[in-house]
Amino acid sequence: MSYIEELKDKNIPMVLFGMKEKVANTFSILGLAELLHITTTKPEAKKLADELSV
Amino acid sequence: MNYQYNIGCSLSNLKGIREFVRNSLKDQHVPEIEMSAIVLALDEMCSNLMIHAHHCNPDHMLELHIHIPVQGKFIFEIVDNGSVFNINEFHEPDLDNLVHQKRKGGLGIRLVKAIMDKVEYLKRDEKNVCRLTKIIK
Repeated sequence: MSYIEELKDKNIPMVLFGMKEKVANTFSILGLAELLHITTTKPEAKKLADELSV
Repeated sequence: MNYQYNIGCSLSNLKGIREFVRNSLKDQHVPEIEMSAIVLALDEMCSNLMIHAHHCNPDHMLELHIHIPVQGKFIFEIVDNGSVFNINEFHEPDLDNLVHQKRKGGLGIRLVKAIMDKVEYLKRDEKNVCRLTKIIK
């Protein structure tokens, strides 16, 4: 969480993928899922990261 | 059904707490996603207590009670003699502020309040009791 702002400042896209259900649930409970980019698979993550870096 | 686990306030004992909770609830048809969340909340509450109220002194004891009065209702009580930190009186900082301040941590209380249906504090036999209630429908 402490790196979210830093990555944003440096224009570095970060996409998380392959989370276990319990981890995804914890992110969702905390509202972190709204702040971060999360996908299910690695190809989806790479595609989104490419889109975000344009 | 009632279960009890007594442990010293050392962070190395958190693993035992997680196992105790899982074992106590294993026949209660708790979905894995809920089970993980409950274990996480109790781990968070116990570790906070060990660190802030007992300074990780393994000679200080903490009791964890689990009471299941009816199917789907789970009452967890953490009993100790340390100082009380009532999480109901703590105002969690806004998530955006935490991110903006680049804070590491600060999400534990938010997590516990979101996972549990009720958090209460009471005194019993001169001891502090933090009672967490979870309902699973």
